[in-house]
Amino acid sequence: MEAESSDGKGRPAYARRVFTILAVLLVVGLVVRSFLVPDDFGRDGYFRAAAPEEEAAREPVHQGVEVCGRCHPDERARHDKDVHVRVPCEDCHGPGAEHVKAREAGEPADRGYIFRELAPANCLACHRRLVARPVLFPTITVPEHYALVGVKDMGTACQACHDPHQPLYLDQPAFEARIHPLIHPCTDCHRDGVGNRPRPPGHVVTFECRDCHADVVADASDKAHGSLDCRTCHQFHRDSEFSGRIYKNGSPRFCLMCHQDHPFKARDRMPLLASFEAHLQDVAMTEDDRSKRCADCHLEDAIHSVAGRSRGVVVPGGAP
Amino acid sequence: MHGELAGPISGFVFPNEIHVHWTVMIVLYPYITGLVAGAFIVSSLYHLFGQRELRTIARFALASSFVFLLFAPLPLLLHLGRPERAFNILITPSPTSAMAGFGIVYLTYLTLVALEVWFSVREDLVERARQRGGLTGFLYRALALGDLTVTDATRRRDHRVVRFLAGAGIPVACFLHGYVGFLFGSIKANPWWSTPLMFIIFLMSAIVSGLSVLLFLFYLISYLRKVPVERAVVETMARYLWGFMMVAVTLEVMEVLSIAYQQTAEWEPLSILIRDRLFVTYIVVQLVVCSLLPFLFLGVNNLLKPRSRVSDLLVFSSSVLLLVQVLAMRWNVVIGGQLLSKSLRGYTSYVPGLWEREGLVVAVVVFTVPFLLLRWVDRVVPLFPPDSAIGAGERSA
Amino acid sequence: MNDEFKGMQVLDRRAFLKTGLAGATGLLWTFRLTEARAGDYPAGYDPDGRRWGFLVDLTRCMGCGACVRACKAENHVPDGYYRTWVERYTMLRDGRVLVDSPDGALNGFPEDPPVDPAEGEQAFFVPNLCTQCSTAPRGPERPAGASSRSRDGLVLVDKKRCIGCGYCVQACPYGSRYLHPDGTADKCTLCYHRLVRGLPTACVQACPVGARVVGDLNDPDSPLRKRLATGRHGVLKPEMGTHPKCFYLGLDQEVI
Repeated sequence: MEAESSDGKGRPAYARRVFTILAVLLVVGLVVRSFLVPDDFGRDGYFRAAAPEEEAAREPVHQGVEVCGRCHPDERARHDKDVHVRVPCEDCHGPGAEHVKAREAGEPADRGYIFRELAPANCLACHRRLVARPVLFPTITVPEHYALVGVKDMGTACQACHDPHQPLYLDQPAFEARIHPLIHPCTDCHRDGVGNRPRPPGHVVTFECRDCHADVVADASDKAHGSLDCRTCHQFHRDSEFSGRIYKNGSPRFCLMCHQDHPFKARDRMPLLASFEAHLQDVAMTEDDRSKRCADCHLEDAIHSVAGRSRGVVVPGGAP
Repeated sequence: MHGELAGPISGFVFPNEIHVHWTVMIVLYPYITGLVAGAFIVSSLYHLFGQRELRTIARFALASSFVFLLFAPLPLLLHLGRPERAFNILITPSPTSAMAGFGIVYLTYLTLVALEVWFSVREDLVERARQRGGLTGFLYRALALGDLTVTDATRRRDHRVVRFLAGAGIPVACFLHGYVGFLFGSIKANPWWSTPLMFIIFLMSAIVSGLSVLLFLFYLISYLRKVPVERAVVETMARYLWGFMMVAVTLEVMEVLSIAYQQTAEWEPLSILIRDRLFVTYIVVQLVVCSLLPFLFLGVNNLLKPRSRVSDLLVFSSSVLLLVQVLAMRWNVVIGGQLLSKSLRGYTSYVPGLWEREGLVVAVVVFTVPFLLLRWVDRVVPLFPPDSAIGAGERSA
Repeated sequence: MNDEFKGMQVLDRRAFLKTGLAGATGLLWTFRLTEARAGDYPAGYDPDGRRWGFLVDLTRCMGCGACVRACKAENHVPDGYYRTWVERYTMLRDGRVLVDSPDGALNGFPEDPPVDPAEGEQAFFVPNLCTQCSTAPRGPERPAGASSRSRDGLVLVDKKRCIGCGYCVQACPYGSRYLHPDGTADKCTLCYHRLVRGLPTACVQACPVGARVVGDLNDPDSPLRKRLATGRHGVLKPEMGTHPKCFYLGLDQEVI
C-alpha cells in the first residue's frame, strides 16, 4: 500500500498531484464563473433582469398618425374625414422614423416610402377580390370594376379617380359639389365611443347620420342592415338628393356586391343570390329584367327595416 | 394537400421553417458522442465486467473514447450562431434546459475519461520518461506529473482507480449520450422527435456505433500492420455487436411502428415524411441495407461459425454497414425531424452544402481528425498491449 | 530526486497560481466594469401587475399584409424570416384544406389559390405571431439563460447572451422563432419597446380593419378583454400545454 513517494498519509505523490490539479481547475473555474455571471442574473428568474429593459429601450420606428400630422396637417385633415381614417399613414408611406431620418440627412424626401407609386397593385393589397376576404370589405377585380365605372384603359391608376386620402370622393367636381360634409361618426376617431359627452369647444364639427336622420338610424339599428355603417351604401350627400343617394341609385350590381353568391361564402349567413336574373324569376317578375333595380321592390323604408333573415317587403310593380 | 411532393417544398411550411437550421454538424455531434459512449462501454466490458477477451482492445477503446470526446464539442461550436459566447452555457447553465446540461455532463465525463486514461497509461509514461532523455524525456516526465514511482503497490492502486473510474464512467457515458437523445425526445413540438424512447434509442445505437468503429479500426490496424486479426477479440465484439444492434434496431422500428399502429393524428404526416422524404435514408439505408444485412451477416457468423476468412469478411462488412446505419439514423432523426413543418401540413427539403461552415467538407475534416489524433496518441503511449499480435506489430511496423 | 522534483513543482505551481489568479481576476474585473448596465423602463411605466396579451379577430382580417410589412420595418426583421405572418386557409367541399402564406404575406396575397371556386366551402386569413406562452416549452429553451421573461409576462430573447444554438427554435410549436443572421435567436417581442411607451404594437397600429388588439389581460377594462368578451375564442395548439396569451376570435379547428 505504502508507496515510496507517498506524502506520509499513504497516498502516492502522483495521485495527490492529479487530484490537486483537478481541484485547482475546479476552483479556478468556479471563481471565473462567479465573475462572469452578470450582477442582475437571477433577480427576476433565470436570466439577466436587465434584458427586458434593454429590449424596451429600443426606439419605436413607426410614429403613428398623430406624429405624421404635425408636419402634414392638411393631409391628415383630409385623411381623417374619409373611410381610410382607419388606415394609418405608415401603412402606405412606410415608417415615419426612416422618413424623418432621410429628411434630416438631406436625402430625397420619398426615401423610405413603401408605396410611392400608388399603382393599382398597391391599392389591391387590400382591395383585391379574394375568396378569403370578408364580403363586407370593399374588394374589386380590376376588369369588373373598370367595366362598372366605365373606364376603358386598363392601365388607369386608381388615383385617377380616387384620392387615396379621401377615396370616396371620386374627383374634384364631386368634392366641390358636396354640401354636407361627409358623415363621420365620432367613433371614427374615438374608437371606444364618446357616450353622451358634449363636443368640446373648438372641436372639429362633424356630423353623425343620426343628427338629422334620428328615426331612420334608430329604426335600422336593430335590423339586419343595422350592423352596417350608413356610409356603406350612402356615399354622397348632395342637396339635389333629398334622401341621400344609394350608390348607382340602387343598381342591382351595387346590392350584389354583398348579396352575390360568392364561392366560399356560404357560412357568412347573408341572403345570397345566384344571380339577379334568377332572383327575378324566383319572385315571378316578368317585366324587362334590365330595367329593374333592387330598390324597385325593396323600398328604402323596407331596406332599413329588413328584419332578421327575411327578404324585406316586396312591393310588386315597383315603388308607389 | 399531401399529394404532390416533387418540389423542394410541398404543402404548407411555416415561413420560418423553410430553412433547415440544424444541419450536418448536428448530425455529426450525436454521432461522435455515440462513438465516445460506445467505445467507453467496450473498454468497461474489460475493466469492469471482466470480459478478458477484450484485453487487447480495452485501452485502445478507452483512448478512442477520449479522443472522440475531445472533438465532440467542435461540431457544436461550428454550428452555434455565436460560438464566442459558448461559455455562457457553463457560466449560466439554465437548470431547466436539457441542453445546458451539456457543459456539466461533458466536463464531468471528460475528467473521468482523462483520469482513467492517465491512470491506465501511467506506467508506460513512467517507463518512457526513464528511457528517454532530453525534451522527450522531460515531456514524458511532465505527463507523469513528475512522480516516476512504479511498484506493485502503485500498480494495484492504479488498477483499482481504473476499475472505479470505469464503473463511475458508465452511468456518465449513458447520461452523456442518453441526454443527446433526450434533447430530441423532449421536443414536444416535433412529432418525429417527441418520444421518451429517444433516450434509450440513442444510447443503444451509440453502443452499436462504438463497437462498430472499434471493430473497423481493429481490422484496419491489423491490416496496416500486416498481422492476423486476433480472433478472440473479433468474435467477442461481433457477439456483443449482434446483440446490441438487435436491441437498437428493434427500438428504432418499434418506436415508429407504435405510432403507426396507434394511428395518432401525427401518423399521417409522419408516414408521408417516411415514404417521400426519408425513403432512401430511412427505409433503404437505415433499415434494409444497413440493419438487415449486418443482422444476417452477424447471425451467420455467430451461429454457423464459418471459416476465419469468411468470418472476417462478414464481421468487417457488418461493422462498416452499422457505422453507416448509425450515421443514417442520426441523419434521419436530426434532418428528418426538421423536414416536417410544425404546421403538420407541409415538408421542406435539405441538401447539405459542400464548402460552407456547416458543410460536408468541414464535417469530413472534423470527423477525420480524431482518427489521426488517435494514431498520434498511439505513438505517445502504446494503445495495444505489447504481448498481443497487433501490439507487437506496431513495434515492427 | 523525486522528492526534490516534487517540492519544486509544488512551489512553482503555487507561485504560478497566485500570480495567474491575481492577473485573471483583474482582467475579469475590468470586463465586468465595461459591461453596460441597461437603461430602465421609460418614465411612468411599471411592469408589475400587468400581463400583456393579444387578440386576433379572424372574422376581420382581410389579408392585406400591412402587419407583416410594419413588423419587418419596426423590428428590422431579416429577409426570409417573420416575426408575424399571415396564413390563408382555403377549405374545399371535399374536405381538403389548402394553406398558404406567400412570403409570409409580406406583399399580401397576389391571387386566389388555384382551386375551382365551385369547390369552395370557406376561406379566411389567419395572422400568426408569437403566442407569448405562459408556460413556454421552458426546458428546451434558453440553455445559456438567454430567454428572459419580463415582469409583465413577455417571453424575450437576451440578444447579448444568446449563443445561437437554435434549441428554442426547434422547441417552439408555432414556428414563431428563427435564427437571425446575427447569430442569435429572434422572435416577436410584442413590440415591447412600444408597449412600455403606451403605443400599440406595430402590427396593431398598422391593421386597417382592427383585426389585431393588444392589451393587458389583468385589466378587465382593457380593449383586449372587452373584445375577448364579444365572442368565442381559442388559442393555437392548446394540446401543447403552452397556455398561449394570443387569442383568436372565430378560430376554426383546422387552424394549427
